[in-house]
Amino acid sequence: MIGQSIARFEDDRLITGQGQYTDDIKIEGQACAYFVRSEHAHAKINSIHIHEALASPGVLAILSADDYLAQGYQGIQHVPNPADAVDSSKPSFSIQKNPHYFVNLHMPLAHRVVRHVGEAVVMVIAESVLQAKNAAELVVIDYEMLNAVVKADDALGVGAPQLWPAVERNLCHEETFGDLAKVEEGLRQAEHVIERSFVNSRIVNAQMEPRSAIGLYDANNDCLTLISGSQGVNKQKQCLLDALKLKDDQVRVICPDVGGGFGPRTMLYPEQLAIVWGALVLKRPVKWRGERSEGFVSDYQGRDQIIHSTMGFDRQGRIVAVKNSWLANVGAHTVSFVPPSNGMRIMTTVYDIPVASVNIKLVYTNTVPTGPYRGAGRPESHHVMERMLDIAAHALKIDRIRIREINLIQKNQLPYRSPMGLTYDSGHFADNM
Amino acid sequence: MIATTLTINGQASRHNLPDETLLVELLREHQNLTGTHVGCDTTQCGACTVQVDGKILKSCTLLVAQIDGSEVTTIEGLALNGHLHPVQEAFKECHALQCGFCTPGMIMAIAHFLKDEPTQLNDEMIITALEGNICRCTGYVNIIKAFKVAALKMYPNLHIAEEA
Amino acid sequence: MYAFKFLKAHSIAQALQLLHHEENAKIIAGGMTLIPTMKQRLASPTSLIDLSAIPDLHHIQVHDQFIEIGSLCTHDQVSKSSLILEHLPTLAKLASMIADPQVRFKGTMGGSLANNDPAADYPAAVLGMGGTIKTNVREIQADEFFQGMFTTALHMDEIILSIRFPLGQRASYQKFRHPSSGYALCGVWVSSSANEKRVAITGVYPGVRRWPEAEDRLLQHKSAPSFESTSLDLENILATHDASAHYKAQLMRVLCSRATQEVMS
Repeated sequence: MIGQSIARFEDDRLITGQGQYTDDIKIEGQACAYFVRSEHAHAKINSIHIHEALASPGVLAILSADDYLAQGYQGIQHVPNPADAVDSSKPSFSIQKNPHYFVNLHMPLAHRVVRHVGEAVVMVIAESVLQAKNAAELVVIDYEMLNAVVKADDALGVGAPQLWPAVERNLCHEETFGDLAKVEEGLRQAEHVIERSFVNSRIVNAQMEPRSAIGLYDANNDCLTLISGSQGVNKQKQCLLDALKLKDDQVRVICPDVGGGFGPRTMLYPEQLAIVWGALVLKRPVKWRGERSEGFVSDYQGRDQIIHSTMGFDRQGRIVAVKNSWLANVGAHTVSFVPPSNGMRIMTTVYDIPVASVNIKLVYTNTVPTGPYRGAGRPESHHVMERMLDIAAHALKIDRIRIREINLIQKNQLPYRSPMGLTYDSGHFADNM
Repeated sequence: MIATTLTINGQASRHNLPDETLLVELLREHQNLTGTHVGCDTTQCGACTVQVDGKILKSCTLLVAQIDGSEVTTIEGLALNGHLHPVQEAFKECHALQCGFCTPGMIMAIAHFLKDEPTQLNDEMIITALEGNICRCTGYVNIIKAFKVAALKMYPNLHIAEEA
Repeated sequence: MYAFKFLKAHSIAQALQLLHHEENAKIIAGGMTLIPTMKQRLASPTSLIDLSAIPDLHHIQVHDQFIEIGSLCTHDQVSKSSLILEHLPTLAKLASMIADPQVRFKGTMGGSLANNDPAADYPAAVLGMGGTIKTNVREIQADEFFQGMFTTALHMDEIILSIRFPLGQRASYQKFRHPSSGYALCGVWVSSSANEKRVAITGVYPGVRRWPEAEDRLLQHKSAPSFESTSLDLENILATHDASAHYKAQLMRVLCSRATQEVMS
């Protein structure tokens, strides 16, 4: 068995059209939900008028944040701070080191303020999708425009619009990792110092299956069920239990076939929470099928990091120290800090570097929240390292292959402990170049 | 409301539906044929590709009213008598699918291309043939392989150009 | 989409009658542009008048001086027609580069021309060839037909029946496709006959248009000239976030050069 190629179990279903993606599943009596989304990046919600929409054919309910809060529920606590890669008993980012550490509860529908284009404000539930969509057009939201900021460096600037009252400069956390003192000493002693800034652009996930969700409520057992494609049911369930203040046996999460994950489907979405809540309110199954254009303004997005790197080299071209600063664009809500966490841990990648340090800033902006995406922070770090080596090779007039040969971790150094605390147990890095 | 008759996967069916009903809606909501997928709003992704009267069309951009009297084949109707179509087999053998969402559309497009024996086959022709189908998982490499494997299954003497 | 009535016309007369009678009606040919637009709720006709069942709109015929193509011919038909491949192969090649295989099976020449998208390909062919649009009322010359973004000379009660392309010219079409949409970031059609040179540009300006300076240059040269220093209207170029005016101008020059080389070889 080991070493043999084994055919996948699911292919027979998927190649014959027998997949069961969320939208393929029909529940008898299901009502259809449609979200009214903000067209503004940053605005106060003065009022929401629904009486005309309520009178629209087929409408069963039109719900907003006030309705949700009035029932005693709270926003999603994403627990964006992941377990540390070196010591998993601790979180990656140390809350003690920063009294200003801030994460927000992520409401299923925007409460009082919209903080990104596409943020869901109102959920319309009707007998059919068409009826829900038609009614949604009749919902009138009175917005008061606020200034918006979309780039992380701008968000830190003086006078930038502030997304959350408690968070000055939109900086929800800042922390320095590694040995900064030794790094600065190393850079002072270095024969050559190369400095460069890198922008790793924001990416839209664009998985082929638009997000969908079905919420079910079993009144007999007082149990809610969420059927929705994701990257794992446990995180979804924990977040639902917390938001709806329920006990473990009151929520069930089913993940059927999923049309692409890639990272952003790991975390719970406001729509998933809203749909389950809708089923609870209506005492009927509620289904939502997202459209692609909705996905572009609501699926969690990837990357959007600005990394400034300073690298010191000796005369031979050996790296003596590296100091990075990492500016992470969190987006409008603190959904996940995984990418900067991973990026920090592997920042020296496969090269033998004695000392390293990185300062990470996590910054709110009026954009779709970001999270892990295909590599989740590691591609960003690799990109910076490889670009810095090429730039250094050019500046130091060393061949770009040679500069890597002399800096790669050698086989006889394994197991190798990186300056960021990771132990590499294997790897033929030079052979793989 | 509009009355139409279609033959879907060999079976005749009569429908009386709102005029604005798209073929993909008919298939997914009224015929329980959910193998045809909706992946975009802009007629680009091809996940909804079906065969209509010997052509491949995007069912998300086709009104049932436009094809009254037509023959439609969906992914569910491709395998015959329990035997997978060579393209389906090739997808399995070549690991040409991961999440599987684009797969029915891809298979329908390839099966259509190969329904008549091509005089030759190369990467450029394959890429052109699949221009209307998007995949986000595989990076296309294995899909192209599966295309060639299927072509050789169907036409063992077909000359396939070496990869560029 | 909003709800609407779908009405199938079996003759031009019936189509016109329906157009006249139905409020807020729109003609549908293939629907490859109209239906996506309606799905996004950017258009909401209350009636669609389907032309696909009308006979005589699907023919391709070669006459003495021109080739005539029925307005409902699909891009697939045009790209594979043996008559077009023989008499005007550049047109077949252009059709084969529109959108993707599935869309080519349904999209029509008449629909494309009536819509007149500033980045569509057929307008460049018709304008580049000096073609004629035949409607139920009259014949419209190419130079009069295209009037700007999504605007043509067609009246409310006019339906395109066929399109005529003159024969006896050498022609080339060079297209720089947008990698995502497949539309022309820049498309240049050059045609050359004994006493006329025509250069039509699509994808660059708010509507297809000729490039008179390039045409003059072609008239003056026996061999393929370069267009590097040929003046062009930079100010009115429709720049987008991924293609600046200068970028498009450069594309115009390069593609015109390539088209000219192909025509003169």
